Amino acid sequence: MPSKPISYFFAILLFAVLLLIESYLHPYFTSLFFINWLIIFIIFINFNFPFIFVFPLALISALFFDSLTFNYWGVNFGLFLLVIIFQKLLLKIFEKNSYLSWLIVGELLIIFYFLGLTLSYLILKQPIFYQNIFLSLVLNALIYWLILQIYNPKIYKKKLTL
Amino acid sequence: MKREIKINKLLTKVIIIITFIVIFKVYLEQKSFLENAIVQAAVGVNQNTSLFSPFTSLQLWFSDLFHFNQIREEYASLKEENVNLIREVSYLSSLKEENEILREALKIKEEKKWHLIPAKVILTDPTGLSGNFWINKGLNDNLREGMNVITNNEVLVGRITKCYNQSSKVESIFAPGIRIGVENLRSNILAVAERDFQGNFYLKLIPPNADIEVNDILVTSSENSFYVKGLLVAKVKEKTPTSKIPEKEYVLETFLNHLKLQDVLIITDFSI
Repeated sequence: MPSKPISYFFAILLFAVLLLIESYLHPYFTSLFFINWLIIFIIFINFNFPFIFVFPLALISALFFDSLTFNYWGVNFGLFLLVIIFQKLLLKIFEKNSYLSWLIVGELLIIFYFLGLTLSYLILKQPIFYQNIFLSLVLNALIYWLILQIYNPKIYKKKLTL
Repeated sequence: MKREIKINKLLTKVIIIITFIVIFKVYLEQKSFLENAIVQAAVGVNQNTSLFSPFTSLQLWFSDLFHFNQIREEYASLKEENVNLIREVSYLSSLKEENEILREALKIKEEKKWHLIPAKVILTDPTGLSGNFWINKGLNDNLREGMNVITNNEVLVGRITKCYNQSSKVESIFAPGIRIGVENLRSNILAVAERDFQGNFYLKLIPPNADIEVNDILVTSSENSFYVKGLLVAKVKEKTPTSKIPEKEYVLETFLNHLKLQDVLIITDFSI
């Protein structure tokens, strides 16, 4: 668990940057898929930061998605909330500082999020191309894996120092 | 002792669940307020260029200093051009007057134009999957739900689905499930344009032996319940009569490029 307050500051800073990227840069790129940088970020910080810190960030992300996507509210809020709770539960099963558990937990959560999104679109009868959501799921999972490849040595070092 | 701990744990869990339910309820109840606030906040960030503006003006000042001679030459040529333009304007104004007199004489009914309101695209759906975007005009500018949104070339962009005081949500023609009744300008054939998940538009419900060729221009037909008639939609890009799927025989290319969409016009009132 990060003890330095500076890590909280950097986490908030990175969150703000990702929020801006998500709102201004990505939508102009393509409409065939979307990369949810915020859920990837929240999964990452939920490994190290306390729930009380992750929850407001998840709430802001959900607020952002719920207000700008389709007309039904609370869908993203519910999904984000379930993701962070599900992650805490999964971490009780898996080892916390292992690369493999980070990978499995993260990928499971990304699959869970996109499946939830697909279901919500299906239940609420919102027009959507499910192929695009599936493509997004694959890409997000791939990006999470790539980031973990870069971030992996840091976990390893942390493990060594422990 | 153990029983007490168990009860405490149970109570904590119940409190947490109740807290979540309360937060969720508040979240849903504050829907419209939060939605508007988010859009306004995002617009504020989008329009906030003051952070870099001092540097830009400094850069411009140096650029002007280094290109002084070029600016002087340009100034002289512009002055000359201005004189020419003034002369041309005076000539054209006399022509306009003459034209109006002739029009009145011939009793030609002047073509009624749409009443348009310009707006800027401020945000698009972050997922990009719904095809929605937001504009910086709303109820305060007399915009209402259902109004058509076009570009300055009269290309159909979409329609307003939600209006707030200073912003509106627009459903573009790229939204999934959108069906646009179109008419071929050349042969007056009626059909329906629809988009697939790859982003391509196809012509559907085409009458048998329809006269449709490549590069034919399609405009909105009178069969649309949401769109005004006569707006540009797409042109026929490809024709594959051997296509296994009959509905994908005609591939369309939209006139609208949603990736470059910055400025739009809203039709607030129209009469044909």
